[in-house]
This record gives sequence, structure tokens and C-alpha cells, in this order.
Amino acid sequence: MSNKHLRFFLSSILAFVLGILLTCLTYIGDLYFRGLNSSVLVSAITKTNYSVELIDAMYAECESVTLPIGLPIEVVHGIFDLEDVKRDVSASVKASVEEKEFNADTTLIREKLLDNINAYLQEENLQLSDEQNEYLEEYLLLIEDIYNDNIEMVIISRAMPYWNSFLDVALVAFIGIIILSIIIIVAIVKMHSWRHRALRYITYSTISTFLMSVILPIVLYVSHFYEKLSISPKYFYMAMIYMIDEFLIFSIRMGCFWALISAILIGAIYVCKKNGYKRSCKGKGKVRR
Amino acid sequence: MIISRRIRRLMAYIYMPLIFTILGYVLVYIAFKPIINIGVSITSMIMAQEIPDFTLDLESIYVEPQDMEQDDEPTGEVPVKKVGLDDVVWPSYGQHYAQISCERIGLEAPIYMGDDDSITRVGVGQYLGSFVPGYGKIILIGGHCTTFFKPLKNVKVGDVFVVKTSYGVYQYSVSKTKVFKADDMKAYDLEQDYEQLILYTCYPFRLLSGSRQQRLFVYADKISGPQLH
Repeated sequence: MSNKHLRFFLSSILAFVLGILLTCLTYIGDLYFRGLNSSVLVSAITKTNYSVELIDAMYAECESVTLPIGLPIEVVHGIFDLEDVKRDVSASVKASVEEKEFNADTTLIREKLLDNINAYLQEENLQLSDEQNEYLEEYLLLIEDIYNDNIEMVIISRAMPYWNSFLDVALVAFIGIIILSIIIIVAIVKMHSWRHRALRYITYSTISTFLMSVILPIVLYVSHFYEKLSISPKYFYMAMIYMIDEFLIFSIRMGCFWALISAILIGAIYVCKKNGYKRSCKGKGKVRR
Repeated sequence: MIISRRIRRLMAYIYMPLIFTILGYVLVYIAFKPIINIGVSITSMIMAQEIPDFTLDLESIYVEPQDMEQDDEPTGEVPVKKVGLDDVVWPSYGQHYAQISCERIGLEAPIYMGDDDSITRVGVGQYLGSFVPGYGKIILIGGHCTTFFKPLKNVKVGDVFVVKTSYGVYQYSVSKTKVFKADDMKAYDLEQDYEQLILYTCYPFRLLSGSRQQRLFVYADKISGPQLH
């Protein structure tokens, strides 16, 4: 095998490996910026009517526990405030991301519920016995538990420890990949006397990175097959679908970034070729035009 | 020659990255095949056939039965009228398929197949493991003691419940009532081979009476109604 063919073969392999590494880098970056971080989760909550649907679901659950104890379901109406729910859900999400516990302040909910119950008892001219007051306290605690259970995104809370461990590993991998990529780029450049030839192989890598980074997200985004995810309740499902959509769009944009890099490199190749830039140049040796 | 070399170099910007892409995907698939297979298995478990529909559809298949043979006073005789199974529209979960009433105690409620919270808020729910009227087996129906089954606190032996379905009208006479613990499996037998309507609700009936660990069971034997065959 001649030197020329050997150089082509080795450069191609290095360019291929560089393409794989840059693709991994892109996906790690996608997961880091658009994965389970608090800003993405809070954005999903605010943009998908999450809190409104959550309140409806909580009212349904509260009505279900109210019916068997003999109180009218109207006593639970109006006890949840939309702004308070939004604030508590966001705080709960941020606590989950930091792997901390969060308990919402349910004082206001309890007060509103008690006011509604007392208004009903007054209207019906009913007096509660000590035993009934005891069971009323049980009921109030039940409603508070319903609120605390529902504002927490349980799946996210459970997944966060694993996700955070993955991010720690991903960070190390990210740094390792950058170092390896630099080594490969230097190796390719040193293998070729003419700069434009070295840049050509690097361009093959960046174009293949663009293709590998973009094809899969585009196929997933266009097919929307992830909308068949069997998760409930509805508000959580909508938030997850929104997050997946955002992740895929971000991945496509990141892939397009490599297309831009490729275009810049092609421009650089044109300039280097036109000016006859050689690696061993800097005033030494002949410049071939 | 120069032109073809230029074209070859330009084409290289297309075929080389394409080769890298295809090789890359193949390599990743081969290298991570076990993980990909596990991922596909997990994904298939959490994916439905269609996009989930969260709309609460408690639809009704109930149609007021024609040629109602309802006696004002139960005679105690079972009529010989038979209805083919093919003539019956079997209710699915969440469907309103019958109406239950008892004039003496003022009970009137729609019967839904299934007994979750969304059903018991709008009617009374039939336990999925029980059978429809006319089948010759147990019909187990539950409801809240504060809404549709509130009148059961005044039920007595001898009261007649009328169950109207699209395929016939059935009458059941109360034979006994009993209070059991909520988790007591001796309250009913799903395997019994005679038709009986069993209504159950929380007990006691008063407001805020604790966690309601008891259930009132009302047992009613069939008096009249077509037989399904």
C-alpha cells in the first residue's frame, strides 16, 4: 500500500471516529440542556396548562373522598388557588431536581375548607359531636394529603437520583470526548502537508455528525410515535410530550449547528486551496499554486 | 480529467459522510444491541396502540324497554319469556345500561358497568365480576350512602326493586339485609348459581361517621324478568 493510500485510509478512519465522538458530544449536550433540569420542567408546567388540569384532577379526587362521609361535594369547591398551585408545583419540581423533600403550606386550603364546611353546617342547622369533629380532622388531613401528593411529580422525583448520576458520568465523558476529538483533529492535520486536505477529512466528520445528530430526532419528531406513551394523568402526559417535543427540536437545532460548522469549513478549504496553504509553510518551502 | 477530479472531490463531501453515517448507525446497533433490545422491550410495555384518550366517556346504551311486563304487585312467579344472548348489547366498562328503582323508599338510580369513583359520582356501579340481570347469577351493585343509595337506610324485607334494562324489566324482592366489614369476603359468593340482586353501600349512614369500615348489604331474590339463554 502506498503512502498516499495509507494516509487516505488512516485519515478516513480517524474522520469516522471523530464523527462518532462529535455525535456523542452533541447528544450528551442535548440531554444536559434539555433533559430533566428544573428550567425545562418548569417550562413544561407553565406552557401546557399543567396547573389548571391538576386542579381539576384534585377537585375530582377530593369530591370522591367527600361523598362517602356525607358532606356535599360543594364544600371542596374553591379551596385550591391557581397561583398557589403553580408556585407549589414549581417549588416541588425544583426540590425534586435537587433531591430534596418539599411539603407545601396547606394552611390556606384547610381554612377555606373549614369555612365551607361550617357554612354548610350552619345552613343545615347541624351540630357535630366530639366523635364527628375527630373524623372531620381526619377528613381535613386527607384533603391536605391529596394536595401534597398531587403537586409532586412522583416519576420525576424517583428518576432524579439516577438522572443526576448519569449527568456526573456524562460530564466526565464530555470532557474525555473533547480531549479525544482534539487529539484526532491534531493527528489528521499532522498527517497531511496541505491544510485543505486535512480540513476536508474534518469536514467529512462534521457533515456526518450533522446527519447522525439530525436524522433520528427528525424521524421521531415527524412520526410523533411518542404520543402513544401510556402515561397518566392527562396533565403529566401533556407535560412529558411537551418536554420530548422540545428535546427533539433542540437536538435538530444542535445538529444544524454542525451543518453551519461544515459550511464554514468548506469555505476555509476553498480559501486554503486558493492560497495554497501548507502545514510546513510559514515562509519555509515552496507554496504550490 | 481536472473536471472529473473536482467532481469526485465534491461528491466526496456527500458519499463520505453518508458512509460514515451508515457505518456509525450500524456500529452503534451492533455494539449496543443488548441495550437497544432492552430499551425496545421497555418502550413496547409503556406504549399504547393509539394515542391515549383522556376524555371521560360515561356513555349510555340504555334504552327504555318495549312491551314492559311490569306488575304493580309481584306475583312471585317467574315468567317464561326468554331473550337470546345475541339480542343483548353487553355493556362495557363505564356504560350506563340499566335503571334501578324502589318506589317505597324513593330510590332511583342509573346503573353503570364498573364501580370506580367517576361512576359512583353519577350513578351506582356494578362490580365487573358479577353478571347482568337475567343471566341466573349474582348481580353486585354498589353506590354511595350519601347520594343514590341513601334511601337504603329505610329498606325492609319484602321491598321490591325494579331493574329496567334494554332487553327486559326485572323485579327483585328483598329477602334480608346484613352489615359486614368492608373487606369481609363472606358477604357474597360470585359462584352462586341462582340469580340474586345484591346492593351494598357504606355503613352507618350518618354524617362524618369515621372511616366507614362497614358495609350494608341488601339481598333481593328474583321475582320476574326474562331469562337470557
